[in-house]
Amino acid sequence: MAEPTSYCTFWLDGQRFGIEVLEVQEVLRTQSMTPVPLAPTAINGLINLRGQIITAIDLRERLELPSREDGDASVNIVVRTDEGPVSILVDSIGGVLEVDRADFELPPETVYGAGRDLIAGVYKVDGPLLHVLDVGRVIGELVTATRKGDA
Amino acid sequence: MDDEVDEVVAEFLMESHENLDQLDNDFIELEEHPHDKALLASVFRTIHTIKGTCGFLGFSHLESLTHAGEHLLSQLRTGALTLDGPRTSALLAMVDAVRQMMRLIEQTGGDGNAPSEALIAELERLSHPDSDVAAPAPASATHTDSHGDTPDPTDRETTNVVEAEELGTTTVTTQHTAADAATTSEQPAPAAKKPAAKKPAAKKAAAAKKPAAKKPAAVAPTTEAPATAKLGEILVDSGDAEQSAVDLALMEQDLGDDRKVGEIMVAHGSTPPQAVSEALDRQVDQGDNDNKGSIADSTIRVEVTRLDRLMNLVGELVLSRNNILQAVAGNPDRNLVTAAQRLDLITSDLQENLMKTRMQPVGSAWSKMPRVVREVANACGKHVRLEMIGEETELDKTVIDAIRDPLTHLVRNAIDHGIERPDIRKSAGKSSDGRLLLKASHESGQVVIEITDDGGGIDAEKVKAKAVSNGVISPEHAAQMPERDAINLIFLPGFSTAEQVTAVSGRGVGMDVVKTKIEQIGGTVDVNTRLGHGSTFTVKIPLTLAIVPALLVRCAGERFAIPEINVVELVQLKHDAESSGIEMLHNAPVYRLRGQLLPLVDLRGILELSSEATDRITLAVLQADDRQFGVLVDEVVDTQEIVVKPLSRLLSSVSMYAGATIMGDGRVALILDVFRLGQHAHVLSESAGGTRFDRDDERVVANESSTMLLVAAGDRRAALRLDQITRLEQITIDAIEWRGHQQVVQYRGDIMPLVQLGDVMSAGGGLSESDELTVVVCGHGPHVGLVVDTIIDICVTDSTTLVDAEQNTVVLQEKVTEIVDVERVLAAGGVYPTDQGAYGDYDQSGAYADEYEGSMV
Repeated sequence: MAEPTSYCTFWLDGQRFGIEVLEVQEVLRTQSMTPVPLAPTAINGLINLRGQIITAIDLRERLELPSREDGDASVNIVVRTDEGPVSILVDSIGGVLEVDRADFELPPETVYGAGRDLIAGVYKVDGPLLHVLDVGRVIGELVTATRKGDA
Repeated sequence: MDDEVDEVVAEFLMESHENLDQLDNDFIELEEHPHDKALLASVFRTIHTIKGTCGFLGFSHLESLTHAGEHLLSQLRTGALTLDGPRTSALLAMVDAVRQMMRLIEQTGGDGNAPSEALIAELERLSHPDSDVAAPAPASATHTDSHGDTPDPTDRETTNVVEAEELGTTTVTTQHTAADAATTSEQPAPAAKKPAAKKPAAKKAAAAKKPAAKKPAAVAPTTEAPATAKLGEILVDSGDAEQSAVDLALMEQDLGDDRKVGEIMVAHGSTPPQAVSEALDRQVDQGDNDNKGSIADSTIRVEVTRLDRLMNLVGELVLSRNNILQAVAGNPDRNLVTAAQRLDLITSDLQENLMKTRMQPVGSAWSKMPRVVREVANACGKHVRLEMIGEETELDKTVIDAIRDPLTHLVRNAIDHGIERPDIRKSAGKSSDGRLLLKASHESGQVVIEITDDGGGIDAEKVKAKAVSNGVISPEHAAQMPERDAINLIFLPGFSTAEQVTAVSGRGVGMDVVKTKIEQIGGTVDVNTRLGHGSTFTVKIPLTLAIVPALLVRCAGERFAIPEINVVELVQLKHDAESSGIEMLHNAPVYRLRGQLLPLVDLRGILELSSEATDRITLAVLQADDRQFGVLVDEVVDTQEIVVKPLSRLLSSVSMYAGATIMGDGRVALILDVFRLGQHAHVLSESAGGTRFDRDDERVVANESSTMLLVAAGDRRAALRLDQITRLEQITIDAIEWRGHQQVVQYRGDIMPLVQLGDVMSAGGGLSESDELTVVVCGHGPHVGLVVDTIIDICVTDSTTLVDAEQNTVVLQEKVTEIVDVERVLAAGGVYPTDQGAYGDYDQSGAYADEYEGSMV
């Protein structure tokens, strides 16, 4: 029996996602967001986290899901990454869910699009499936993509 | 216990590094004044200290090296040898070797296992009076001759090292020369005093090992300051002299005898030389004690990272202060308002004082310059005199670190390219020694550093010729280029005017890197030159990088900060198009500012912001790269001191911003990079293809990012590389003539063939109904006119642009656009002869690959 793992869960376009609790620094309500003109579309803007300027990534945009309607609230999940803290913008926050490693399954071949790369797998838990987000890739591809532009 | 030893070693290293930096300069100065005994003594002491301490700490290789150096120095100090070029070089080499060993100690804890035998041998060879370099200095002999009563100088020449019994005579001699030096050189005392003041704790250990009497007495004259007890008093106290004898000596001094009291008394025979030397020793000790006390009490070493952290915290405090001030504004509670105002004052004060702690004199970036100058001048066979003014000008440490390399490069350049060889200088009627002036000063919140040489100056024509031959500009362009612009060509990547590549400079990387580095920290570099009289490079840099005054502007509801350093003036414009004063020059907006045409950039347009109409427009006149341009914004909000924060790497693709900052209301605002803004809008030139000058990436960038002219031909959109285009012209249809089956026009005294881009692309269109043709004049040699329907825009492609390499199409402004390689199209159009048939093999299916270039990806 594998060790149980805890996931911080959140909702995005009706799907349940999870980020490993240890990767999450904090969760913030809607913050005033400063858009960055000319930036890649997946970058929603900049927020002020107690004096630290943090880049916010729109996960809907990143997963190629339909855009959030104007006025819909969003939640910032601040994750620790190699690039420092980065905020991931989601629809709403769930709770912390303890899962059993045995329930894990890789995404089937039929998953296509951006989700294929960014979803590390699913947990077959009670209720809706828990999509495990690969935070490294969500950030990493943006960094490498922008690095090319920077060269 | 171990920790204690480590601490001793660490302290030894720290102190020694400082002393070695001082040594570099002392040696150079010594080469100019080889008889400055005070200086020589200070050098001797530094090396002696290092030697003593490393012996104590068990670094035997370092000890034997410094011993050899010390031996040579002691010979120089007695006057048995003179300091000349080779000896200076050997001693400098020793300093380097010592530095290297120290680095080794720092890293490994030991001084390696390779004694620098060659260097030691060389030092020993040079320590012999009969080594081929120089005979015993006649100068020192004359000094001693003037003493009359002192023992025969030849006695001393045969004595190797100054020992206790010799002290009396040497002391007297040094005193005398120090007095000489005082009249000739400006301030020998402070120079020699510095190392004494920095007396390391480790030195105590070294000194303790040696009998007190052996302490180098030569330091005496420099510390014989009025602050310490008078020599006469000490002699009288110790019973070595009568008060009357001292009075007599002092009287003689008053009468014009410029010898020292001790000297006069020895000459009178009223006190033994031995007693004078002992008295001087005591004086030295007193002086040392005084110095040690005051330095230790008044300064403290702090790690820079600690200061950085403090700086960040104060940055936060400044933001919170702004926050509170905004919240409190208009609050009826008077106590709260007063408290907020007090907080405001204290915060500003704290910020200012903390900034001061990070300030360092610019001299610390210059400390290596004398050595650099000497070495470069030697390598180039030139004589250069370095002058430095304003070393005490203070700058933030981060700025100093950032300008160190660019400055060194400018200095090297000035010697290598600016100052001429001695023979050329003489024939030009100048002194054979070149003069290089480093000058720093404060000027309206910036630091201005000037590097002036009195060399040959920069020849604008040569620069142009070089730029043309390097393909940086076209000959036509060069012919029209004003001299000032031509000289600024030296800042382009890959440019070098040195006719021969030297080891020092001229490898084609240089001024562009200097310029980039200085611009990175928000500075500017400018050159002024007079042919035959020399050049001045003026570097202007901000005092600090962390907190800058900025102008806050609003555009499409968002605030942006523009560093005030870039803002020249603000102009309020009326909104309606007729009276706003904004005119269109072809398709580019311009504004007549006091009779000058100012190119304009619409911030909304360039940032692709929504374009809702506003009833007011403000024109901010900005300056970057020595050019002015106007930026149209909705309104100016305020000016404010902002704390610059870097943007995450996630945003590194957007070069438009210099960072971000947090406003008083807690929201984030982006800081515009004015230089990039100008480049992006093509107001500032993007010569040589790339917008960035990183050396390694230069070529890659030139391929990746291109400026394209967007044109319409028939129903298609085509993009032409801007660097293949010379001009845009409107030509009346009447001007078209025929040459065979070729349409031609007369253009600038030439016959220019015309090619219909629509025909070439099989896109239809052809001759328009209007009686004016829009012609893209291409080619740098014989011109060719490419007839297009309309010119749409100019835009930049980079690697974020969507490109289909196989089809040579690119998505520009959200529309599919074909990339046209002008050269190939013209060749295929029968205008340029090629091995292809006159009309090429055109079909729709894929032969375009030949005509369109594939290097866009």
